[in-house]
Amino acid sequence: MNTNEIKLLVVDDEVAFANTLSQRLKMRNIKAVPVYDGEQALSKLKESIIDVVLLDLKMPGMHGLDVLKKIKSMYPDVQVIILTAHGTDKDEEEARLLGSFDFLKKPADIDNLEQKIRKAYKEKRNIERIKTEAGDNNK
Amino acid sequence: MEEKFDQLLRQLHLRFIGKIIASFTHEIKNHLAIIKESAGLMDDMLRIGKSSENSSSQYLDIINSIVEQVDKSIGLFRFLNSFAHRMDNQFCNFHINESLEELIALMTRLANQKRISFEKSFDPELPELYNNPSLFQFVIFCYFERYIQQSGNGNSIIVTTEKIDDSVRIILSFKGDIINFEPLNDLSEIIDTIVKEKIKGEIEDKGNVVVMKISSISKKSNKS
Repeated sequence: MNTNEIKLLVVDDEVAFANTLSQRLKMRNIKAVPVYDGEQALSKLKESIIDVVLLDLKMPGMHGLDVLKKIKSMYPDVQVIILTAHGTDKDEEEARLLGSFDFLKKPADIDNLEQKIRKAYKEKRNIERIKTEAGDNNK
Repeated sequence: MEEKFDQLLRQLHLRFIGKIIASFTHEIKNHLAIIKESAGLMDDMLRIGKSSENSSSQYLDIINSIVEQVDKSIGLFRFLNSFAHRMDNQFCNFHINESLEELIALMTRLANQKRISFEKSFDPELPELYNNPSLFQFVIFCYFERYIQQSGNGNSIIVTTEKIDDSVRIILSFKGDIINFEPLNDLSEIIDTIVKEKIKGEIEDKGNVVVMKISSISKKSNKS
């Protein structure tokens, strides 16, 4: 499995944070694209293939949990990792119920974050493989 | 009856302090996260990045970003420290503009979530007042919170202060979509009591506009 081509969306209203983190992840062979609110994230998902989304919760406009709900209903295979400075236990529980892959708190350790992103990507690839096999069996 | 009111006021005041601290810690965590990622990026550039002619300017940009975040954090800490000390003495001398500036700074993140901004029009010649700054901030917080919760994206809260003889008039108004703001319901009565009895002021809530007048209270009356 080639995990060098992970396409990641970094969604955070803190522009400096989203840009710097994206730069660091690019240096680790992850194609990270920063966007700064939920609306931008949804339009990016519409126009390009994204494997994993790194999503903040408290953002202007759409709340991260609403963005998560939309992503999972429109692109169920896309894996979403919540990365927030404001996560409560209630938020974490709700995010998991809505199908988030993981829930991390800022500031996060880059090695741990990279590991989680690669795991999330593998999960997406596994789901896609199972779906393809199920489709083949039904033929 | 008065004991019940004081108990309720303590609960609401604690909730207010909790909200301000939560907003502050959220903001600081974001600043620290940017500082951490910026330092991490420099580390990455030294360890795994390829050096180029642009490296020096890139390092300088990152260092500037770190300094900017530290400065923002120091500013917020200063406001939180001053906010906390408002509770040292129930009654003391204070400046309305400073206490509003502090509250706005500490509530900016909450407002940003709804893309709401604050516009300030402060009279620089206000008299210093002897009153209860913490209760004053609590009253203003309740109206700011209402505007933030009930309004849509992209509007502004305008905060104006004016000197009226030895008193200060504070006008909170709302610029943006026309909204019929709901009254503060249960809170209205409590705020009314705080303003009239505890800080001996006046308040009129017209929805889109709230007008409050506050003066110094005599040291004798604060004992009552």
